[in-house]
Amino acid sequence: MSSGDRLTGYARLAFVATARVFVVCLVIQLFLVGLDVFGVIGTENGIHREFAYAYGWLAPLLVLLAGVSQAPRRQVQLAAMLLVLFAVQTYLPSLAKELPLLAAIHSVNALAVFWLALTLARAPSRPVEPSNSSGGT
Amino acid sequence: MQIFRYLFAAVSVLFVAGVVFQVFLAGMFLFAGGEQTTHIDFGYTLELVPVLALLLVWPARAGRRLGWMSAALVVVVIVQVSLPYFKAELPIVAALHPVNALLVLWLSVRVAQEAVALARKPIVQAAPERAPAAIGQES
Repeated sequence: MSSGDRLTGYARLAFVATARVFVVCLVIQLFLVGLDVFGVIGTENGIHREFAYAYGWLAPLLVLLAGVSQAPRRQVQLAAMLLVLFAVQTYLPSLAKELPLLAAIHSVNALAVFWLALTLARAPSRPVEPSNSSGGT
Repeated sequence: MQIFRYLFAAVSVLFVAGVVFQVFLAGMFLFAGGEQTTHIDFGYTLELVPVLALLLVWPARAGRRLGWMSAALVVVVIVQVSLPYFKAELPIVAALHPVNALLVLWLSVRVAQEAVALARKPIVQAAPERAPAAIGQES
């Protein structure tokens, strides 16, 4: 096995591991929403928002790892889409005063982010054969 | 029988759409000054849809696996509706309401995917046994 193949293999493992950590963070994030809505913690703490910023860097890291690990094109696209949707997700609540209907999509967009992350987390952790790299999963 | 498969698929897909709308209603309540009762009332109506899907499992001949998945969906939805009742005594349990919503979404999408695949697959009728005389005529 060449050093290039080894790097691709490690990057692939890191990609899947990062996607799985991201899913776990999303679940914790949703639990924090629950703690907030059901009055266990107050909204003034902003834990839900701060936690999003704490793990948000995993989204661009996923795009980077998808590229380095030579993931199938579809997975690279999904990782890029996840990054875009996550960026939109952090922006949507700020529209609550001017465009409340758009801000309300924050919760629906969270489902899309979760679904994309889950799809990436379920990807095989071994490098994909070159013949499959241009197609879908 | 095929009509029941179409119905099963339609009900399952309808439920997924309902879950997404329900989450939107939650967003409306949190960000757009929407009524909380809208989210709650729609939740009680939506709760009945997976029960209908479960009832369709048998006439649709959906199989044991899809039957269990539909039953699990009913249980998870009942849990989802029950969780907010813990707000007063065990708020930390009530806080699992949005987390369980992810489980409802995941399971409902899986059921819908398989139900649609089932609806696209024609029911194979058991071939009638041929009479010995007919077999003899062929040879």
